[in-house]
Amino acid sequence: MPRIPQKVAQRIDRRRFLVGAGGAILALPMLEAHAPRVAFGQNAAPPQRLIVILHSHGRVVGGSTKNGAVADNWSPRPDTGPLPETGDISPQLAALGDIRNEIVTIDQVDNVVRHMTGDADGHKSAEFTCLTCAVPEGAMQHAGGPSIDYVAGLRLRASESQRGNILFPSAPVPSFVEDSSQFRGANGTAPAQLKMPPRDVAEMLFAGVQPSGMMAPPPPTTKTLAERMAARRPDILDAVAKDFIALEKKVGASDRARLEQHAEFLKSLRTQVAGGGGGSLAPTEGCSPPDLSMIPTEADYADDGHDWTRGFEEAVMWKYSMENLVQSIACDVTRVGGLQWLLADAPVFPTEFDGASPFDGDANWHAIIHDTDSPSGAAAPNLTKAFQYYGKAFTYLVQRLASIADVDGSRLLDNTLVVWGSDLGYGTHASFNHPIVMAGMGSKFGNGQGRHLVCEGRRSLGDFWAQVLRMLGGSDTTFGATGKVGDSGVSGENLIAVSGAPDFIEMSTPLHLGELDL
Amino acid sequence: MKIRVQRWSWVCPLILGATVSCVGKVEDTARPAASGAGAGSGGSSAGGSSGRSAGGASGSGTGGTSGSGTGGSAGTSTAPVDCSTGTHGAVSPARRLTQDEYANAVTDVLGLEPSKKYPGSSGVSVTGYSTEPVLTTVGEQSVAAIMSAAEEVALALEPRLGEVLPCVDDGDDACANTFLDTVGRLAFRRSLTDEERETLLAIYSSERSDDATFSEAVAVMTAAMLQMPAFLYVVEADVAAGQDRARTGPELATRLALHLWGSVPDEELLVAAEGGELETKEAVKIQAERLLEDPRADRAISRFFREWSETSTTAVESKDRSAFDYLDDAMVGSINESFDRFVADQVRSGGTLTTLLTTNSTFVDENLAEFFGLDPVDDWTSVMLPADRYAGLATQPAVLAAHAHTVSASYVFRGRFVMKRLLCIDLGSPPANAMTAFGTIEKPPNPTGKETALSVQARPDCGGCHRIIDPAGLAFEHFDGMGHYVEAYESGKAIDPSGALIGVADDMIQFENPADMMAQIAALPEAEQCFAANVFRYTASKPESGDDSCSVQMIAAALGGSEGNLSRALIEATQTDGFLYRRGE
Repeated sequence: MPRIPQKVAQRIDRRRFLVGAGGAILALPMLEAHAPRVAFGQNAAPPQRLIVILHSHGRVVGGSTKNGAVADNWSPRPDTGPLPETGDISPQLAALGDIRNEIVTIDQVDNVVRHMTGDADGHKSAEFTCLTCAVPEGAMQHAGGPSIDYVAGLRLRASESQRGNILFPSAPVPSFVEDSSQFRGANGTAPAQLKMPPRDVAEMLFAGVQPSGMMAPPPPTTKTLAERMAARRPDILDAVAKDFIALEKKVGASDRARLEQHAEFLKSLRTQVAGGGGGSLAPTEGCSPPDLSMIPTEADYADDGHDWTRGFEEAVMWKYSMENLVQSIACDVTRVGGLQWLLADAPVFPTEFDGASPFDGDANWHAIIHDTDSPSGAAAPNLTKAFQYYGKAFTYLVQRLASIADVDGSRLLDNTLVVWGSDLGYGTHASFNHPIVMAGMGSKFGNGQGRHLVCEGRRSLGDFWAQVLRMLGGSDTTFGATGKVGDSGVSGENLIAVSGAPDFIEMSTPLHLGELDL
Repeated sequence: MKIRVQRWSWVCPLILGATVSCVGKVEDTARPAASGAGAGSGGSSAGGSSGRSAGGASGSGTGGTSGSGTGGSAGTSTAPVDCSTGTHGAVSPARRLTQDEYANAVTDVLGLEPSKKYPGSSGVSVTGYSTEPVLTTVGEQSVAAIMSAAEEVALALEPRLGEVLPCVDDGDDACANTFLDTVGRLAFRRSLTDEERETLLAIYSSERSDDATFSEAVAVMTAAMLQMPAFLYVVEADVAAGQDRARTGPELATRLALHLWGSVPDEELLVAAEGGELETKEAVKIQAERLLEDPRADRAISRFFREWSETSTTAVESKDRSAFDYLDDAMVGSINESFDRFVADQVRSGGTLTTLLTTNSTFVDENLAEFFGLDPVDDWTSVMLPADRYAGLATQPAVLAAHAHTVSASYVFRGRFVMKRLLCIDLGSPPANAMTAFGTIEKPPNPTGKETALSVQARPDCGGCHRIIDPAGLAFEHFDGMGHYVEAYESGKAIDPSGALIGVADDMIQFENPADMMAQIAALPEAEQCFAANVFRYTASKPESGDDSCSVQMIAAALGGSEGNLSRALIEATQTDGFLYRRGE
């Protein structure tokens, strides 16, 4: 049914133009523009920070090995040892070549808790557990505990008035999109997630944050209504929380718990707004809030209602989200940040392919991954090529953090632990062999960086995240649920039903197996 | 926040929707005094409560796969409930207003465009309805978003305050009190308590002392009001576990307005509620009928039928437009509006469950006239489509597009829709390796839907469920991923929409086309029972269990006694014990 072809052509042209324009903007020397790398000596010890990056579908290629042996395009080598000094680290990690000495790659870490659910759904149980290591609740309706970023954020923040953690989207997100299943807040509730375009995020986060060396402007003499409401927030939140508490006395137990939870978040929000919306407590020399005029507005990219699911907008916008993340760390707006690659179903990775993307069809990214459980699969080369999109972004992030001077003159990267992981081990829904890349905070790696670690005897994500907390100063030996797989009451039949349940995960498998030899 | 289009799920073995096992009749005029938990607990669940409406994986081609998955659970199957004695109230957990309800409330009470910052739903729905409490649980970000939304509304209110507060020019404390007596009362669905009034006036007074104008001070007070639990939450006073108490007037008014308007009560309803005029079922019914006649009910009608049919407004919007070159924003709007007009007309014009599922009439504008190959029209017009092709709700383009891939049709999604949402046969989640397994199944070159289905069904671990799901979906093979009628497959192969349903009506349903199939489905008692259960789930914000079977049975009886009249079912939901009585947890 041909109809208004001119309009369609115009839309596609505009989209292509945007991608091109975005690419041109981002090709500008962004690092130099934003990051005065001035080494200066101060005595103050820099705070410790954590950044968690998450993509979907794990290693994307591979997944059929029931004994846990690695068969994919991701792993740099079959054993523990140095990363290759030259050439590609691995086919899928080729884009990390420039930061090879800053990273550690890890094999044979499993999401053991996911197997406790016995849930046959390919994704939800993995999503709920990968960052929480807690058994989902409410008949798999929501996560059973907070994710690592939330836990770390509460510990690392300077005071209650500082935002514990912030989750950045990879692209502008329509309001109807559900909250992250992987990143979760207190008790597994919805996360502190910024569902707004990067420009709005920057405007909100960095209001009142001054670039290093600049004085704050004097307070206004007359208040606008917006300023009045902002100033009145602590009073209002106090009053509202009090009203919630009064109501709690009149209702039943479950309703009371719901209202109590709301009241607790009101109190938390109250402490944040009293601190000036999170504020900037210990900004580094490189604190340089993004120039709003340089960030595309919604009008620049929102000519289609659907393109964002294919990744055209994301390909333009992710660097702006990444810069918001970097600056929120550099300016000490928060000390823990997350960034989730949102498009798991049908992205086409327009920047990775000249001409038509092989994923721009009915057999989309998600479906093709499902069918590629071997590195020799027909689609493996294209999947590997598309995966560079994530690798380039990770490299950009690490280099960006390395380019900013911390409060003591060291690199911001030296005091920021960066973890890149996924909610699955393989795209076949398997929850073993999770791909993990770590960077930053080099002094905390006893064996140094530029190295690949194969965890002998295997380790769990609970082990891994507990170790992350130890690297950040904690004394944790566990994270999330403890015990063994069978403690959840999962049946043997359902354990097997969890796709890709490997031979080495059984009822007796403990949820924690020990330290990683980092 | 993973974006995955069309995730679906079911489980084998087959879990048939259990029938509700009520006995006796339900009193239909006076509200009896509240009693205990009636004659025992238990009962059964129409359709079980196993499946989640999201989950699984999207597939390629016209198929998609399922297999011998595990998990899920049937509705409870315990002793029958005697509905003839006592009351049978419903446990009703507190819930926060949904995004739609918040928007409607702001519009109705303040006459303003709602803020888009108010947080939407999060989590997985058991029933498929947005009113489930678990979907509106708050987190740190959502509490902050509620604050931002309240401030945005307050900012918009300040210059237009006079439109809702005639005494604004007086600018005195008495007028601030008037604001709380009028606007505040509507927002809270009852008169404010002394404590609430004191809290809000303290904020107003502080602002006035800080040189705020009257309208500024009222606006700041409004920002607080819109964050208070009396506005945000549907929450009711407790009652002893297992005991029923009659809902108060304001509680009933809130439920009536949310059920039939997706919003807060108007002044007339509140006056009746606070004046003790909702103490009889007949009085509740009179108000329900008034609300349903009001144009504001169109919003709730649309919401219910969209959620029942799993047809979100974004389903059409999120289609891959490169695959449907005629699809632009105007066409998206037309398809969605056609759905809304269709269901509203069905409810308002005496439509029945049968007409809803079988009629070949629909509404078209200029865009849809071209879509259907009709003569041009200037404005929205009711038209008749070919009777052997089109069959009511299920062949609405919005519904067909919602149960399809982003670029192509899916007989699996459509079959699942018919089974789960129209007949309450929920097969639960597919096995996690469904898509991988699908890729390994040998199929003929350029397979038709039926050829693909037969290949999948031949595999033992897939066939158990697919033999039940697929036939109903294959009836719609003439409709592409946008619901546009096509004569044949792209390969040139002919489409055969005939088939036979398995697991329904003793396997006796054989059909030639979708219209034939839907006519037979509409005549099934199971369809009537399933619709009644869905009305209850939507209204009660939860799956039915125990004594709720009495409420479901009342709705089903109203349907049966009115030849399936849709408006009767929606009204009857307000006459059930589950609506009128709150049961303690």
